[in-house]
Amino acid sequence: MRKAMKVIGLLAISLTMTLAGCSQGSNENPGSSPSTNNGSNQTDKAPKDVTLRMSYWAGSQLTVDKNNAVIELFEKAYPHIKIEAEYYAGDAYNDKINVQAASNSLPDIIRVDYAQIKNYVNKGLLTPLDDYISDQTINMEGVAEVNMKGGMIDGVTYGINIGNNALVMFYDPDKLAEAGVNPPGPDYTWEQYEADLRAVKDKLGLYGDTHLAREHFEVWLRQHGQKLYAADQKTLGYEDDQLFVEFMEQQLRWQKEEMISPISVELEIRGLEDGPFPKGESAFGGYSYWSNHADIMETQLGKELGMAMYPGSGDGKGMYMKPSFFHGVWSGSKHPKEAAMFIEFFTNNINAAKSLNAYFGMPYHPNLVQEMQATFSETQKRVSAYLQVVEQHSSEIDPPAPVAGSEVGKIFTNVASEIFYERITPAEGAAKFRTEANAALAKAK
Amino acid sequence: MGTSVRTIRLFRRGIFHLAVTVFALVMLYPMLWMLSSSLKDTTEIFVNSHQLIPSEWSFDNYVTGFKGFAGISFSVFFKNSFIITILSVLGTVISSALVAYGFARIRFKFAPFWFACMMLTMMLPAEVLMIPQYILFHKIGWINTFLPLIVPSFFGGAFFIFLIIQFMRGIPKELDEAAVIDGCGKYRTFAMVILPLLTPPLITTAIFKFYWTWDDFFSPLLYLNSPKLATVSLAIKNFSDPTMKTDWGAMFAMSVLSIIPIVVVFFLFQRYIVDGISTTGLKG
Amino acid sequence: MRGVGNKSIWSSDNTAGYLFIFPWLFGFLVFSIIPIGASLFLAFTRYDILSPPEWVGMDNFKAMFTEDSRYWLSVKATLLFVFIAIPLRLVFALIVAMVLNQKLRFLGFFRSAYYLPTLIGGSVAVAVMWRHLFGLNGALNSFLESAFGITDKISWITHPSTALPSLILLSVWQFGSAMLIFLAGLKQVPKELYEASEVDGAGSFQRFKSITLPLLTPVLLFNLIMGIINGFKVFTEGMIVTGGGPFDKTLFYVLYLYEKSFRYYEMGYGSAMAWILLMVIAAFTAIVFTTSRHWVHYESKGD
Repeated sequence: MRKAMKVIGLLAISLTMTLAGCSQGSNENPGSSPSTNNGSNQTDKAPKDVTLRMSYWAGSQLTVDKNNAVIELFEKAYPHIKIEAEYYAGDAYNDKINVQAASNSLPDIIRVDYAQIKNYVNKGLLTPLDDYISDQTINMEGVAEVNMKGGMIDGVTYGINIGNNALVMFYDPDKLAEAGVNPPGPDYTWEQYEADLRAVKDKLGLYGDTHLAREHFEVWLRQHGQKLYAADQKTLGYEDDQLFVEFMEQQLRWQKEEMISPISVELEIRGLEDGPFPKGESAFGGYSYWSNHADIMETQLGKELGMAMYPGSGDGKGMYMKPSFFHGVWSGSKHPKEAAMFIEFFTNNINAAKSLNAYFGMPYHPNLVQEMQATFSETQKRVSAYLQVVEQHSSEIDPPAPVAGSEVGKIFTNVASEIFYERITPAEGAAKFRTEANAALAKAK
Repeated sequence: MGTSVRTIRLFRRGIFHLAVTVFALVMLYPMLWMLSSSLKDTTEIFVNSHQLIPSEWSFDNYVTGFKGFAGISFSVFFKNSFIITILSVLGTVISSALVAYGFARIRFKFAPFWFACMMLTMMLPAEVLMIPQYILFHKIGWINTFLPLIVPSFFGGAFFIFLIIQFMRGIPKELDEAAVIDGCGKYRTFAMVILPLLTPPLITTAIFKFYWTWDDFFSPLLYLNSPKLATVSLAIKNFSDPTMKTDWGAMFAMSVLSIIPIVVVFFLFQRYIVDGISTTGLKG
Repeated sequence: MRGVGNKSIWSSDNTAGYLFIFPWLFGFLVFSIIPIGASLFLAFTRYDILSPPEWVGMDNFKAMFTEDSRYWLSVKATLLFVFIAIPLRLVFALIVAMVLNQKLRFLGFFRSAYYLPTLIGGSVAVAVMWRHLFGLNGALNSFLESAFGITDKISWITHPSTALPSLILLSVWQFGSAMLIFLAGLKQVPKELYEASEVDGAGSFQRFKSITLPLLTPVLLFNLIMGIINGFKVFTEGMIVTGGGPFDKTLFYVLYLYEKSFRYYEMGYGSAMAWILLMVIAAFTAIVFTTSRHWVHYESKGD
């Protein structure tokens, strides 16, 4: 009996090691393609038919329809290339990418978020795209460097930006007018913001805004010339805990005066359409909204809304343009050139752009920007105008977050909650955040 | 018995029924809320969430929702879900009954060891097995097919095996002995004597397996790539996006639709648990 | 009556036994044992999913027990949950099953109604719904205000002191599955026994104590064990209603495991956590099983 157990045990261990080892395999055999129903992955001589797989985030029919429209246009232009798209919502997307990466069966074209791109590159999952850029398969001529920077790791381009977004503080112009508050301009200061929150509370009995989010903290640090992560990303990037303390203390002040919504309400929020601002319960809407949420907000509230940068952005150090997503090519793809062709089409083709209508962020290719203005809706025109303001008042985006980025984010949220439930003081919170975040950063490779 | 006693009895029955009904309403509240939200316009759902009666209601969400994604309507998703679920239920019921009989009624070498193994398989969270299992199925080429979702059901489910074993233990062994005297071997005993008495646990197994499989979105998420193969549970998940606009109305509408088969199955089958086999005449 | 002696592995009882359990055995050896073995192996590695695992020996376990404060928070949240929610759930399930075992109008409807919450399970609808009852502006608070004039409101689902209790309540509310199994078990109790005892003059509580309860014990054992196993593995409620918060007050063990494995790419650490969990669950289950000899009554004696 015991001997049998030993044998079984050894067998199990050796089997699992083989399994784990096999699946990661060296690059000599980048894994067999999954048995799809209509795949025909033959050699990549141009006239022969090629089928590419692509994956992207999708949480609504509209997203899927928008993507499919572009795919159809592409397939019309290049009849010998077919695209099979897979889409998943929210966290499920990362889960799916993970299992596919673990089994060496990623799709040819992967839509990647800024938060993940560095990790994927470090693990060798993406192909460098510089060659395709220089031979103009992907035509980036005339594009401002700032739009390309996000997709470059160590000077090599791995991802093409599919459209720009920026952080935004929405506001309801009617509510501000009623409270006697001037709409925020580019030189809006934190002091003015606090005064305005108070005015809204006093005159309207509504919340001014919600608590500040992690995104605000990053901008806050940038405004003070600091960064969240150090250059080597092994520790936090700011030395002075006072910055953290001030950031939290002002919110405690606002919280005491009930100028912002209670933290408990915010923790209950379940979606973009949910929350004080979209429900009309606050005048400002900072939260963690991005410029491409303008449509959603305006539909919810049924009116035109204002868009402003975060307070304190006058000197241009804080804000930044963020690529909404990147398209990358899997390092094990058998048809990288065709994949690159699709990426080029999606981003730079005028018909594709017209079809997408800035759904995934604002186009930035000079050839497109002019022409698109004519087809934009009112809302998009305003978003476009807002992004131009941001462009004039922004500095380079922080380098992509390290692998431990999500953990650091979670630690931040936890510590912030503890502070707002008044379990610990801002000073204690600053120390706690530093200790735990550094521990998380030190662990990751 | 005087009328006063009868009145008290009636009164008690009335209170009893009332309490049961009130409690049932509390249990039903979420369904009612979901149903109500499915009839509202998406923008109203969070704003007037307390109102169970929508200010204006329509079936638009159902129409929109049923269209599904990119031309794949929910009828496809429903079809996929039915195929997977019904086959899984059949597989589970048949195999679990067989295995349970083996453990409960037969003494064989190493039985306790295998039983312990079976119990242990339930104690590991599925999350850690996910990646190795995926790699395994990938190596045998079953990705993007229904196979990883159906085939394992034919090998018994530990939960159900254990459940049926416990029920079998409530069946007196004298029945087995009587069958042996009549000349039945283990196999005949199972088919003729034990199986007919297993209706309650088998029905329970079917109900549970039906709704677990129907509701499971994680396995379809992992093993199915093509949108055309998606199940209802997976498709509904695709309706909710924390980063972009979510069509809550359509999502709730489809959620309501997806609960209907399970409720129907339950409602139909729960009678068989109720009108169970009376074991009259078995004792002595 | 005993079967034929178990002298050789080919005697008929052994063959029959293995034939009957063959479906499970085959599935176990082919589909389960490799992933299970793999996860054990991974527990001793650093595995970030996107690149091959790297052996680190006991490091994961060391870090878990000595350096990770969130780990102990997750242990605490889970233990509290198990020891409160499971007993409550079982008691409720049993009571309601007994109630629904009687003559009642629209019995089928009521059974379905009580079972419904389990069906809705892990959907976003439940999370939003729970907020409507227990959120800051929820039904409970408006009730408290109108009935007792309490205006100082808290959000029961996000306040640190009440978040966990509200999740416990959510779990107890989904007692339908345990109830169903009790119902099936109650149906196995022969009616003649009740009739006989009524003739003997036994009251309803006496009947419950001497007939129902003993005959229900096999099913009770099942619900208890499954309750323990699933209680320790609680995940969905934490994930969708509170997200583990506020500040990890409801960070269930498996939720933390999932975060570590898939959000922070530390699958090795997650696997290590899983195996510790398995050992704990196995220990509890073994204890319950061994004591069961004393309180569980099997009709098929001699087991």
